[in-house]
Amino acid sequence: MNQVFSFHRYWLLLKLDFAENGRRSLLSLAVIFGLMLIMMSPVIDYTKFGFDRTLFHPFGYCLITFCLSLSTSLVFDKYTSTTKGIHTILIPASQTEKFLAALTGNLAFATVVIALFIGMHIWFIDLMAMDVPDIINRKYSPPFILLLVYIYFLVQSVCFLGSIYFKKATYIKTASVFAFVLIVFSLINRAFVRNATDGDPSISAIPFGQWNVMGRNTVFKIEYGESTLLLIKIFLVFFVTALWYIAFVRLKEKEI
Amino acid sequence: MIHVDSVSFGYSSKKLLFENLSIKLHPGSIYGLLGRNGAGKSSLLRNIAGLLFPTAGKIEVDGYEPRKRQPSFLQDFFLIPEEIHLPSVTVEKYIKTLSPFYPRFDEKQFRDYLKEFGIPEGNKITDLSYGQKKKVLISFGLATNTKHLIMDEPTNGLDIPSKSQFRKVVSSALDAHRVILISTHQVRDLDNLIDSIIILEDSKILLHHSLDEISEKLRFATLVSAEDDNRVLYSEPSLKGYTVVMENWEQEESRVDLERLFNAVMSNPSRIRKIFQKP
Repeated sequence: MNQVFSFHRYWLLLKLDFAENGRRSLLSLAVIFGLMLIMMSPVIDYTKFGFDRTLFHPFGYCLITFCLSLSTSLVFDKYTSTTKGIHTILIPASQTEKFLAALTGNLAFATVVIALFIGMHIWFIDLMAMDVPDIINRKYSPPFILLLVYIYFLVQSVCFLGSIYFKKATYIKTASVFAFVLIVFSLINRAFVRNATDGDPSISAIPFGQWNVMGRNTVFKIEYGESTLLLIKIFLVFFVTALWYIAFVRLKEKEI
Repeated sequence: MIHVDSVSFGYSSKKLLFENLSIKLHPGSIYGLLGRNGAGKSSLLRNIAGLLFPTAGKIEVDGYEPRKRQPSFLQDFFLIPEEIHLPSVTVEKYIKTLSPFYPRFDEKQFRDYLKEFGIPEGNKITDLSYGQKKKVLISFGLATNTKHLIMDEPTNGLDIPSKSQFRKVVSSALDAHRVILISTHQVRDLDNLIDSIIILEDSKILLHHSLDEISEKLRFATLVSAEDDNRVLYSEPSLKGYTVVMENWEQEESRVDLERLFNAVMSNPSRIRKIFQKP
């Protein structure tokens, strides 16, 4: 018998997870879908209220990121409580299978939601463009969509790690640590840019992104070379994978 | 076989709950693990289950190291904890989703146990009372036919008729290949059930013997007076005089009274150790 991974046991775990949480997940999906529909579709004409038609699309993104991160922070909730933890740890499956089943369920749910958002965004912009052709310029470009998807999954992976790391007040602690790390990283980035440019105030940079040089009436954007960009992308994907791996190690060390 | 070899464990590095503990549990026996509140019974069970990791020493269950939590080990191991968790599904769904993990699970056996305990089928588990939920879990645990069955305070929450049903059901579930370990501080619930006793106190095993060995070395009797009798380890007043635990110099047969035995071991641990060290 393979002690590390068996498709049969993995499939049983997925079925068990669906039996225990499937209804709740489907209900959550329905609620999120309904809210996105209200916020993003042209059914409600927000121009009558003085809002831009596509104003709520970014809010829709924020909504799904927040809702999914809340849901992700509960993925390993069963390991943090004594009663559920004993039951879950003693299910006859390997740690790898249990981890992958949790990750698969979470990623499947998250992927469906982000795919819904992107699909709704593109479709509704195309619909609105039939009445107001200029709206087509509001459609997110593919690189921007890729960036949104990455940030979305980065937040999910941070919450995924937080769900096994923190026993109580999981979401608040995870969000606090994440915000702290972001601030520190931004400050380090800023200090690096200032140091590299002798403190020139007209130069700023986004971490891992382009550098901006303010001219008199224009902004000059300096982008990384293709190979550097590729390395950065590989690193960013590796970072998300590393967070999952740390969550796996933490799961193996979990004591009840 | 469960082999605990020189195991030490504590929740903090400064204070160990038990130290250098060694026990061997052989198949074909029902062991009772007794101890005061906070003695470390549940922690010992959790170490054996691989839920906690010892700070020193080694635990082996049929050649497996519980802390690795391998599927082969878990398939032959079932723990009924003191605080139970059952998902919010029907009993049918519970069997359907969980039983495939246990290759030797017997559904007919499970339903027979449920019938014995008087649990209605088809109900959602959350609709059942705490005692009923416990009976469902006990029935499931017995029906998995795992080689190792550990129960932590299994009779907590069971009414009086259920306790005797429990004894009947557990004793019928024992076979030559199975180890059953029951931890409890309600010793009367284990009457006529266990065949070996382990008493844990003050980080050590004070007693680990079969009831046969205990009744050879100790006698449980009622005396008119317990004073000036060097054989008496423990006595408590009763209607007919004193119920005592005494050394069995005359090799007389008597029924082991678990509660009195426990009190005797607690009050005279060093003397008990000497008695059982003698050939």
